[in-house]
Amino acid sequence: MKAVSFGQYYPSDSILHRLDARMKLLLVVLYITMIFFVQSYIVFFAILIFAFALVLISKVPFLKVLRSVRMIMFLMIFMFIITTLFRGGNVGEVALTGDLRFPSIYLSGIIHASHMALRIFCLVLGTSLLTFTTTPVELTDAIERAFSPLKLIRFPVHEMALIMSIALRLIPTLMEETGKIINAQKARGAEFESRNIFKKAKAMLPVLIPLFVSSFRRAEDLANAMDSRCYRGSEGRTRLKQMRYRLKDLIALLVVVAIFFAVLVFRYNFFDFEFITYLGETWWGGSSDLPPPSII
Amino acid sequence: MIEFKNVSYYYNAGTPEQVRATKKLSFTIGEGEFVALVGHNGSGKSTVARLMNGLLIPQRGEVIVDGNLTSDNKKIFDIRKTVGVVFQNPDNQMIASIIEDDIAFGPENLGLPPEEIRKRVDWALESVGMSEHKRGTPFRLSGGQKQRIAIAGILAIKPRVLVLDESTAMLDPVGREEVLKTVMELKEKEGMSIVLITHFMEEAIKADRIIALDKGEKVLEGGREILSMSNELDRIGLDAPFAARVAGKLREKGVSLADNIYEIEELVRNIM
Amino acid sequence: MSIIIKNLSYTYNPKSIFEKVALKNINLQIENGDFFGIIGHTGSGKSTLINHLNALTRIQKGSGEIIIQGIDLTQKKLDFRRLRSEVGMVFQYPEYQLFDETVAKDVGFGARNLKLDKKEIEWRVKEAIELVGLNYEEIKDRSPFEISGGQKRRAAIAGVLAMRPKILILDEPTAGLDPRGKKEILDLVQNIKEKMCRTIVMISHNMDEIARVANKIAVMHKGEIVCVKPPKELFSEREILKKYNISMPQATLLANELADKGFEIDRGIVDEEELIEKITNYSGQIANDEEINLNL
Repeated sequence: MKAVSFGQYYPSDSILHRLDARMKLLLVVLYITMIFFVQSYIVFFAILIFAFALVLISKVPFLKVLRSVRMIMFLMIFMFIITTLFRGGNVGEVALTGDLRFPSIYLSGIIHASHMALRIFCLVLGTSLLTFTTTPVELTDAIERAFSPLKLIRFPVHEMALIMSIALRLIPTLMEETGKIINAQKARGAEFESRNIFKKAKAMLPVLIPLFVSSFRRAEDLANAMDSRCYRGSEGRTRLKQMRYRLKDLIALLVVVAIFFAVLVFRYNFFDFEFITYLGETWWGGSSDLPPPSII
Repeated sequence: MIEFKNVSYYYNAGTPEQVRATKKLSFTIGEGEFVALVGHNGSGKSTVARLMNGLLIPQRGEVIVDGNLTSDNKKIFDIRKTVGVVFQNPDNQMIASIIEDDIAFGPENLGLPPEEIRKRVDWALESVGMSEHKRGTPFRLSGGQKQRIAIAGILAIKPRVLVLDESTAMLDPVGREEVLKTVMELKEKEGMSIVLITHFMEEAIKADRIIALDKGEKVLEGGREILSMSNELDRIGLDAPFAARVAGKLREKGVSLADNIYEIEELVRNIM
Repeated sequence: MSIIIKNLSYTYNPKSIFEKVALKNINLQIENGDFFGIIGHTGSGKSTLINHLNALTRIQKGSGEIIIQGIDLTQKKLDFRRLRSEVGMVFQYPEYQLFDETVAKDVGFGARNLKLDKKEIEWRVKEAIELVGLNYEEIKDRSPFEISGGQKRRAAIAGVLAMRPKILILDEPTAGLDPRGKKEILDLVQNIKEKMCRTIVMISHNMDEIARVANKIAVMHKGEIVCVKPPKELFSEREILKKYNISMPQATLLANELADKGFEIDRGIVDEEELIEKITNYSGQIANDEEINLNL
């Protein structure tokens, strides 16, 4: 079976593992928002150092983290190429490709595209760090609690959270099962490598139908197992793991907020720091929206 | 503990596809008793498991657990707290992807305080010998280990009757042995009643009582002597355990042997 | 020579931290007419090995070779259609791969993939369904999802037989069945060997079963084949059995217990009837001896 690395819990006892899941969820939301304010290589670089430091702290093997990033490498490269080709340049900027109508590549386009790729990289790094250090149950619990005000408008928060955690739990099982069925049908001469998309869809039926049938069987078994273990919805339910904010959660929040603030300062330069003004004019410290830097 | 009184259950009741799964079934399971419920696939034995904890409610007759009717909706959780059922497929009984979270599912549903849940989770994992895996995921485990986790998940509710609905059918011999050993230990240590539903007759040897089903009806009930009834067992699609079968054939050939032979050691002692 | 395997090795996720050796230098010859048993604990490499025989798993570069009925499985442009009409594969719980509207259509899936003409397919489907002991007229138009469990398994096996393979590979064909079902499927496999597939390769965890039907048994342990022997020889090799933690067939177990107590009996007996006869004769002898003693 191929290991699915994206979003799989890695057991360890690091401080990141021990942070409250709700806090981690909030921190990741903050982190993601922050990433969208970053517009210069040097800040990206700083954030990457920060993120890699967190990976070290989390004790999750480096290769495991990189594997989860590798899965979206294709997306990053694709976005980079498309953006570079089609973004165009800033007002008055001369294309690197000269007078060619296509492709017309601009330096600011490359910078912009690489910022985008870096942003995705940072995003995935942060979110997979969350899923590496938080069990699916903790995570769904945290989501359930974060959205619990929605219960007031009768939104089935608990049920949604449960569905999520069961889905997560079933993914590896279903992947394995899919592999088995594909092998069995291949042994009966089925071909899945057709280029014609309709043919391909039709060829998938011998896999999809058994998969459906078995998923229903699994669903029924699971419902029986849950009933047998006295499940009766969220009412009167307690938890093994109580969520409690502790000092370390507060400190973590302060750290992230401080970094967020620093990022904002770099972006908007509220205090008119001279070095930021200076950095803003370089290609490695500035944004691609500024007039093209003249260094190169 | 559990009493079946003339229980008939029909699938798709009231439709043209109505199928009878059990017919006027009556028997009891006593406190601390180990009962083996045997029958071929499709004999209705899995339906019996689901009738025991109110997953299914009989259309005719009644199932009584500890004085409560399974048809009484208000008592259903008392019933499920008393009778825990472990099913066949170990992959389809796990609710959470971390083992201790999964074990905690039952006690959480009971609304126990966190410290008590913790105690029960640790105890349940200890009882099935899986403590060292508590923070891990079940996916890398063997079939036998997964099934022990499923047992622990039920144990954490602290039921007084443990029902194993063909829980060994999908396992290899090593896994099967693991699970049976665990179950026997639980019976010894915790004094639980055990209902072992199976078609492996060797597993029934250790039972206090054996009930055999065919077409949803009880056809045999009694002690180990049932295991020597090769012809009767064969008629309902079952095999006598090896030693009992060989002893029977030897007797036919005129070899004189004692009556109660079910295990190889007993047979050897008798031949020599 | 029907199947020749030379120096076959296989590694999952080679050159990564998830690297796992599944097969180590396997050398094996299976002859035409063999009923070849493979035993070994879960994870010993049995499945990886048989997946190779159908090219569901391709031989890794420089990791040995397999030749089946003259087809070299190392070649890049393998004629899968030809291979799969030579080698049929019945996986564990094969009923989970049923998908088509009717039993006849489902059984014909493999034959259709071989691109045979309609008449031929129809004829083969009928032949296969009857060979597995089902009533063709009665079952051909029924949905494969509404027939009984035992019928499903037979129908699934028929789906492989409709490709008319000369070699049939079965992975635990009796798994999950009750005693009668097990016996019936085992008889069926022997019948298939007589009427269609001259060579059978079967994986089993049940020693009584494998000892009854196989003429040679290979023992796998940690990705290696540690020995290949006829059942009687294998089960009398106590050291091998002990070393690889292989249980004995019940009859062998009894024979050994008796032998330990000084009973003169062949330790490798695997057949119940043979054993009963030996014991009967022996007891008769004792009875005679006693009589003689009394007469004296």
